[in-house]
Amino acid sequence: MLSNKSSSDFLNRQQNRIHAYVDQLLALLVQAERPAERPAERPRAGLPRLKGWRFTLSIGRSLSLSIVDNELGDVYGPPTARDSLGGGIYLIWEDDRRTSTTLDRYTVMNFEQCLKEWRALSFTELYGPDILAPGIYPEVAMLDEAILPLVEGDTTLFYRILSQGQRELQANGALFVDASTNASLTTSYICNSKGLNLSYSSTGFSFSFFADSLYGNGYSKRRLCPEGEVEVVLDDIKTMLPFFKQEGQFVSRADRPALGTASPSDHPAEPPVGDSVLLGSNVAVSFVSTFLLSNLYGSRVVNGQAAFEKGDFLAKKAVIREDISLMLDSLRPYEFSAGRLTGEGVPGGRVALIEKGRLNTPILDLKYANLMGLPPTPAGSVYMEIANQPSPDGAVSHSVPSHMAEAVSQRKSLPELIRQVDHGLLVYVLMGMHTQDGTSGRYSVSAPRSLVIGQGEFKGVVKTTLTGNFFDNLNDPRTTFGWDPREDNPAMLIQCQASTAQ
Amino acid sequence: MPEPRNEKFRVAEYSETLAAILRRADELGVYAIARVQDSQSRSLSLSNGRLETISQAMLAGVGLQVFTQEGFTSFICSDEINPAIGRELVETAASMAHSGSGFATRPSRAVFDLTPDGVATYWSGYKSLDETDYPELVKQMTEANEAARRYGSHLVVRTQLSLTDTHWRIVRSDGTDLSFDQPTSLASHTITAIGSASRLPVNLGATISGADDSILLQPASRNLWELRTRNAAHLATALTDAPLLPASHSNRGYKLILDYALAKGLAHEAFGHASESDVMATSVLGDHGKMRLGEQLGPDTVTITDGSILGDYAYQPISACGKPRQTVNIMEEGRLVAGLADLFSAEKAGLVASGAERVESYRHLPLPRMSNIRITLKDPAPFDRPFEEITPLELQARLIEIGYIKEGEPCLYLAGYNGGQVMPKEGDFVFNCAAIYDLSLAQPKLYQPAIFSGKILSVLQSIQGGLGPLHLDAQGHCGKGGQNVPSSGGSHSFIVIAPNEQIFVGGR
Repeated sequence: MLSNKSSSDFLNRQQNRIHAYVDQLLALLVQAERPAERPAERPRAGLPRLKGWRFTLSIGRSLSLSIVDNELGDVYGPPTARDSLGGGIYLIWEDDRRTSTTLDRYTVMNFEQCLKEWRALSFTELYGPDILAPGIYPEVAMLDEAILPLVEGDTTLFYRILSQGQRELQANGALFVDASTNASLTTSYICNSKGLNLSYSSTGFSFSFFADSLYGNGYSKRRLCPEGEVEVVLDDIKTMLPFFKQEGQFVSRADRPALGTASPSDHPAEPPVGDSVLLGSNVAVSFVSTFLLSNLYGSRVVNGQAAFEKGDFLAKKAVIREDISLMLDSLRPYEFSAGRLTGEGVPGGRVALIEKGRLNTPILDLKYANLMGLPPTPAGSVYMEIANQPSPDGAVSHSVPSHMAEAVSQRKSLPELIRQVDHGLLVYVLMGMHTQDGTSGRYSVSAPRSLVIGQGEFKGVVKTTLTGNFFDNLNDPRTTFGWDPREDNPAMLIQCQASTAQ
Repeated sequence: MPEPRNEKFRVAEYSETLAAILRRADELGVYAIARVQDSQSRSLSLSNGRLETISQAMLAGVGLQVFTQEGFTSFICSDEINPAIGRELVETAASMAHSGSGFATRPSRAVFDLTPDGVATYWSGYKSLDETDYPELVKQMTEANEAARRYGSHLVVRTQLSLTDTHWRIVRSDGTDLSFDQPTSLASHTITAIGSASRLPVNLGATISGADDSILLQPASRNLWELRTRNAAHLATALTDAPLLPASHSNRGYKLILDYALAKGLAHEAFGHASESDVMATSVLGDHGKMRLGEQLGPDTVTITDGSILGDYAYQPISACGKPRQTVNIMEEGRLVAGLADLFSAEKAGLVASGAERVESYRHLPLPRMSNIRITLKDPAPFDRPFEEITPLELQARLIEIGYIKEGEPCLYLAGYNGGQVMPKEGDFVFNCAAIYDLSLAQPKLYQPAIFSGKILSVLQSIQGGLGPLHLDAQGHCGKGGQNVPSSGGSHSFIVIAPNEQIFVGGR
């Protein structure tokens, strides 16, 4: 169904433009490393020389088209093209003062003036990192040439996908359809004064549909979707939408005195008591991001603003159940998180932030790696791994390594998890997660469209408020995981207080 | 093309490019709206007295919407601003716009009915970044960070300052050429308190916002920030050992008291978004796509207004489509009288366009958005104590004194705004507070924050009264449509919400 046309002219033009810019910038920076010999002729006379620098620079083009409230390509979602060139630069001056600022399309032509302004912005950075020597950077697939014609301006595929989705979803009961498609091409450079000079190009392609603001699904990778993917997404929405259109009833455990009052605990030794709530994988990810990941940034750990302290990592403190690991991975082919290196020049890779329930390392840039006394970490996305249920090495479209095949086949699927719930809820949409304080683990969020599950089947929707402590959930032996083969992270079945608001 | 008259505008440099864009659009028979942004910003951050970073950022580019004679449209943007690129942008945009004609795309010809808005500049008069003394600001922020840490024995304080100086120029095919600046400043502490017994950390913020560095350098503003900092530090410390709100308090008979920052959240999340014209087809404030103008949806004491205020964090005098932004009473004495309407959906929603279009940057499409939204109540009860100095006990006493609550009556005071979210199509909203006090007890009891959720129409009908003067500086950011724009607003010092089964405070 999808075009596989290859076009590299546009890519070449983009690459040539950024090559020219980078060449000029490199020459100017090398010149700024030398002392100003003839002050009268040098606009940068009086400035100290640079003793180190690094920069990242990207040139990009993206194209998009949307449906907003059933209107395809109208003024709120028209065919849209965006071009940009920009990046960031970090300078170390001769006197060890530092400057951190942005690069734009005009930096090179105004370089001498910029240099003066950058010096004026410089500051003494305690524990400021040195420039990293070049390393070995892993290869990871990020470019799909089949996307290039879309980026050049051919919107035919966009219109075709969106028209098909709108037609099929409306024929299956959707009153209002919202949808979007996007394709992008980016060429990036990462260079530094110690000889790092690496460039790569990457593409992106995504589409998503949402029906009646109730339920949605989509695709988002660095390569064009495989044949049949649009149909898979639409079939899922068509299957799920009717369940969201039935009013349901749910009696919370808190409202059933005979079963005991819910009592979320702040102490991991006391497992939470409450209702069975199945967090869809996207919702589970938002919990992990808000309450776990936010406490794993090196700057927050070192500065005492996280739930975990520096010593906790050095002591490999157990903080969650021992079968759960949290991995940071930049090497998954064609994922948006894929990257060969960070902007500081740290090679891409895969590292456990939490390994078998124990803190392993925070997410560390060079500065905070020095302060922690640990190696810097790669960029990338986080993935949960459950012992005996390893996370997928990519989405459904990626093959599972043979040594993992048996374990993966033992994973509990999301439908299996749903079938084991006698009385509970399935949550795909949350409101208010961004208002939570992630450090305590405590949550109080609204789930306006919770699907009631009774004896493993959907029984309509209710509005609920979920209350609990996510650290308790991650320590609770009853928490279980279910995998949707199209998702990178598992759905989670937890126990928490679900209060209905009729 | 005439030059903007004020030489301070950096966007005056782009006259040649904008002229080329309009000329090429005219040649191709399309209508163009071009907006040039030239933005400079500087920020600094400190953690526990240590300077973490000083950084500057520049953003300049042009965004272009074109409309064919049939009303098909497209959008294109680039950070490269010169006449040749401008002409290319028009050609690409025109080609993309025409591509919609073969599909079921709804055309919009509203731009062809616009009346020209002339050539003008709107200068706020606030200090530019070039006029700002950064060493002095570093000194001030370092002192503020040290002072904040002295408000408790185990406090960790991260302090940030952000100054942005944005210049806009918006031109249209009808000859409109308007320039304005949009300065913002924001200083904030994030205070982390570690519980002595629980060891659980609690984070709270204390902010001050405005248009330039006067938020730090003017004594009145600086004192206000210090008071907020003191309150946040003390509250964060107290919250480390505060219990969760019992389920029995969640709603069902509890009167609610909201401070003005939460009232701004209520106005913004529960009401403002539902009054925006682009969502009227599905909004609870709409009926068959038209806004329910004339309907009595709240008590006759309630008026809700949105409008830009000079010097405010959300100041914007001109819309992203080059129309002067109107101050709009959305609700007057409980009756729905107007919406926040952009030129593209105003007519369809049965509204008059009010210049409500806003964008995050030149890279974004305009959407109708709020600026400063406020709830005002008829005959609010006087409460002349400075807001930052009012304790929960004093509030409780005043509420009893004026008869809003009786001694022992179930009543929760929700303090401090921690963000919110709305689904205007369903009428659901949520927002979070920093703390909850039970005012039914002789000594108000502190509880952990909990999500406050409800239905838009229910909460409007339950606004019972207000106390104290208006405060309109509750600052925030709005993320509608994935675009982050400054927002602000407020109300009287406190507003009172009558008990309502549709309003829910999440507890345990």
